[in-house]
Amino acid sequence: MFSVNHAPVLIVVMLLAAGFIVPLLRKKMALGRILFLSVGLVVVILSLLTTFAVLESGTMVYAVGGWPAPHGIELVVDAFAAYSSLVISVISLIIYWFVVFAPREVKHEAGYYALILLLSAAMHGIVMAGDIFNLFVFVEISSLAAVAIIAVKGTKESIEASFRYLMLSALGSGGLLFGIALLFMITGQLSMEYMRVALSTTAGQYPLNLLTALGFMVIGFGVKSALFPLHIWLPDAHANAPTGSSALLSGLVVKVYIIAFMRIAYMTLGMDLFYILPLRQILLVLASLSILAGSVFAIVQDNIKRLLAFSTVAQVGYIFLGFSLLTERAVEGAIWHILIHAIMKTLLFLAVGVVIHQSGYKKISQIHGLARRMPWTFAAITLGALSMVGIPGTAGFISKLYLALGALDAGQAIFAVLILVSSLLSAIYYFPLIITAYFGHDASPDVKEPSLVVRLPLAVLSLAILFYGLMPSMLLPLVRQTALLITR
Amino acid sequence: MNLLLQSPVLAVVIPLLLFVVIYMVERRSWRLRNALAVLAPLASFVLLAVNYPRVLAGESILVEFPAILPPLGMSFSVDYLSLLVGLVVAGVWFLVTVYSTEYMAKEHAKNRYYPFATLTLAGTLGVVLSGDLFTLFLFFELMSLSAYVLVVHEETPEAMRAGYKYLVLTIIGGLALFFAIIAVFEIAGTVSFTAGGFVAEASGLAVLAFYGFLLGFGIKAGIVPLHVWLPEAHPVAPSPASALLSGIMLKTGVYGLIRVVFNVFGSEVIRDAGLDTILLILAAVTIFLGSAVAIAQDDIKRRLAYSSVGQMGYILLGIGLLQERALIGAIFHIFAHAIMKSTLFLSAGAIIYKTGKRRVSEWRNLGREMPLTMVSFTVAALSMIGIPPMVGFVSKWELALGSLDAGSWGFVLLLLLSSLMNFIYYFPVIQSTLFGAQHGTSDSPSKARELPLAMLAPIIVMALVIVFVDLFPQSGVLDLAKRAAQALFLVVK
Repeated sequence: MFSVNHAPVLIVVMLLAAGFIVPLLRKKMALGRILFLSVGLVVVILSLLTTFAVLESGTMVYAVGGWPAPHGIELVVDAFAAYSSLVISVISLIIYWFVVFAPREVKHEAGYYALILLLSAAMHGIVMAGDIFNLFVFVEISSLAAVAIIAVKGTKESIEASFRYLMLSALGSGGLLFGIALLFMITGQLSMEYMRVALSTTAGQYPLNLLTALGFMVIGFGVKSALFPLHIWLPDAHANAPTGSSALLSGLVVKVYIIAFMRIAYMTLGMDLFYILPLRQILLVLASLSILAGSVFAIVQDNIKRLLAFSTVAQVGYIFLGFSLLTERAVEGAIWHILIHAIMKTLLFLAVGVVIHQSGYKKISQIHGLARRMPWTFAAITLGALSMVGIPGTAGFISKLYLALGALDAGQAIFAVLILVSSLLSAIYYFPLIITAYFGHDASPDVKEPSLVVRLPLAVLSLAILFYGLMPSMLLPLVRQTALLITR
Repeated sequence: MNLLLQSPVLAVVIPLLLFVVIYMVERRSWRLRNALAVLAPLASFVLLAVNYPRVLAGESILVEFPAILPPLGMSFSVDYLSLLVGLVVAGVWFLVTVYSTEYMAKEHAKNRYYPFATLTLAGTLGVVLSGDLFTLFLFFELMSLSAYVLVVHEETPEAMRAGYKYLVLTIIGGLALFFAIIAVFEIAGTVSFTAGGFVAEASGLAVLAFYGFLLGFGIKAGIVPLHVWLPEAHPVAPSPASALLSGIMLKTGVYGLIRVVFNVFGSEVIRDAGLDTILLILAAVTIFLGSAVAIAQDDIKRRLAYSSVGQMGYILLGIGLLQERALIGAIFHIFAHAIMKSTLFLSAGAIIYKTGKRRVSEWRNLGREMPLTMVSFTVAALSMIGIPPMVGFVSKWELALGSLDAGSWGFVLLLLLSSLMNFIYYFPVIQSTLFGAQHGTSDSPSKARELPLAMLAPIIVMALVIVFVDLFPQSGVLDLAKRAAQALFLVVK
């Protein structure tokens, strides 16, 4: 009875349903935790099945409830959606594990899990939605859930940060909705496929409307994915969230909005628009500024989580850069970086969270010699940091390699240089963290490593960094197909 | 799987694995740790040496792993040049590690030193045995980063400062290399070393790539003005590590340049684009400044470090002349300087180990107390000055003949001037240590004694090599250097 065609919709539905069931189990939290983790695992399996199906037989279109477009809701799972969904499900499962087993930072455990599940459901929904209105609905769910998983920490700073995030994110949603409305006005369609068909005949008549719509979308998604100069909410939000939330937000959520933007761009408008309108230039400039500003701000941070947050701003710039360079290898680099940055940043946030919890130290200047007390955790941090710098042999090198090659393909050597400069800057802000931890006076004899179950996710992510650093061939076909979707 | 075919790979992989093994066993047994650390370079040496007959027979050995890191892939190869340099690396490394088992016994954090020294060995051998630019880059970064741990070993504020400078310049160099490599890949679609080079013409991007290589390898080799990290980083490291840094790791920079000039661009392209002029100017400046500044140093290890800068200039000169004879000199000097500078650093380290005196001006009369050490030091210093029949003379001779072949009288004069400066800064050391008794302090009772065997033996072995390699041509070092230079000039188009 089960057909793999149902897998995409099952992913979203299961996560949504689990999000409502888990709070009901608050009296039997053991059961709730099992449900939480097993849903995560099942989703990984389903997205794996989906990915294989897509690789084998091309794009899957699933009409929810059997109602086809243009009136029904469709999920369109192409290579990009399958890839994104796979990344989201695997990284989230690792974070679920950490959240369940790591020392608790949040009072309402069941509520927290529910929010995380809703956020995951929304993220899968965003990357698979076939019509632009459902995409917007999922963006809204994920935005609100993202704000909530910061606020659940309950400290003054986290509530302040989440409030600021909420305001800016609402602004972004407004822009997004306006852009969608304009597109609807021009085409009379919400399904992205039908929109594309309609636009191919009508686009020429409404150049100004299209430009405005795109402008609003850039602003909307730019705010949500922290594109410079719309990133101002991110450092506070990501630095003050609970560890698991920081990892989810930095590792996955910001990227999902980029994916959504790219999907709208290539599914409805076609990438030609990047050339006809000055969109490509604008994005290239903003991406470069993100990279530089994020790195420069990160250098002056002493608070480790803020440093990681600013580094995310820079890394988001990489992804935008790759997509807007629009050569095949640059796009492949951006797609790689979605996964690889998710691995690295999740690892770093989780490991730093462990360090902060075990030692109470939040600043680089406090962690002298701490690596001797927590050798495993700091080995993971070192690996993550080396990968962020892009040392060959780690995964971070792969995406940099593809991005830089892509920049040269586009005949824009300056962006290859930019990537190098940014690598140097990341070395300047990541290495002091490692050096301080390994050398210097040992001021904290009573700090211990966390238990093995907490270290497990760190180990898995560390191995992934090494594995993808040396053997990226496993995911290569999927990445290549996705890049072809965008650059064709 | 034929073990012999894989031997170059194993020569790299075994130290890499031993890094992990040492890390696991070191808490249980320091003897096993030391034994494994000594075994690693020995095993690599043997694994390389078995290739000697095949390489001499003209076979080229290439092992490829295209699945790793597409689209570039990894490959290992052994030819004359990499065999010579690889044997030097593993051989000197072995002797230095034997020495360090005794020298480091008094030091702290030995459990950090040995694994990272082994990891650095893996990186260094990887650089030498790589068959393409990308593999070279991968191991170059591994070597550079793990050597950081050796540089800052003492953890003093000066060491941390020097280490940070080293680290930042290493990263800059690495990024410059990265850019150069992808630029070359963009131009030619390959990064595998090819006889005669694979970059067809010196387009704008190609020239930019060349500067990237020059920056990346130049920083590592300590070419003036990119040498700023070197005189600080080499002296602060423990003496065996200084010997490895100055004697071995600097050479990876010039080795990389040789590969880039002859196997990536090809001597024709370099000459047509006038890039050799830049190499020659840098070489001249490096030789002159390195030697001149060394004179002013009182700290023996700083003096040796600056001397290394000058000596790297010799090798750069040999590359930049784009002339077979000069290249023979350059390649031979890789070997000669590795041996000489390691001997000097090890014996200087031995004196500091015994007496705690780092300043040359305090080294009076030590020749009486540590005769064998001082004789070895003297032999190496004389060789640096270029007295026949030591190895240092041979490389200078070939370089000078090469300069004449190229019609550049100026460089011969420069070589002579540099020899004179070498004399000025080595001779006072020899004089005051061997014949310093007259100066009055001889009556003060000194506790310095000759060294324990594990420290003394490596120094003496290397001193013997310095004296006798040239007297016995059948040892084959010069022959290998000649064949390597010929192979590099061989153009297959």
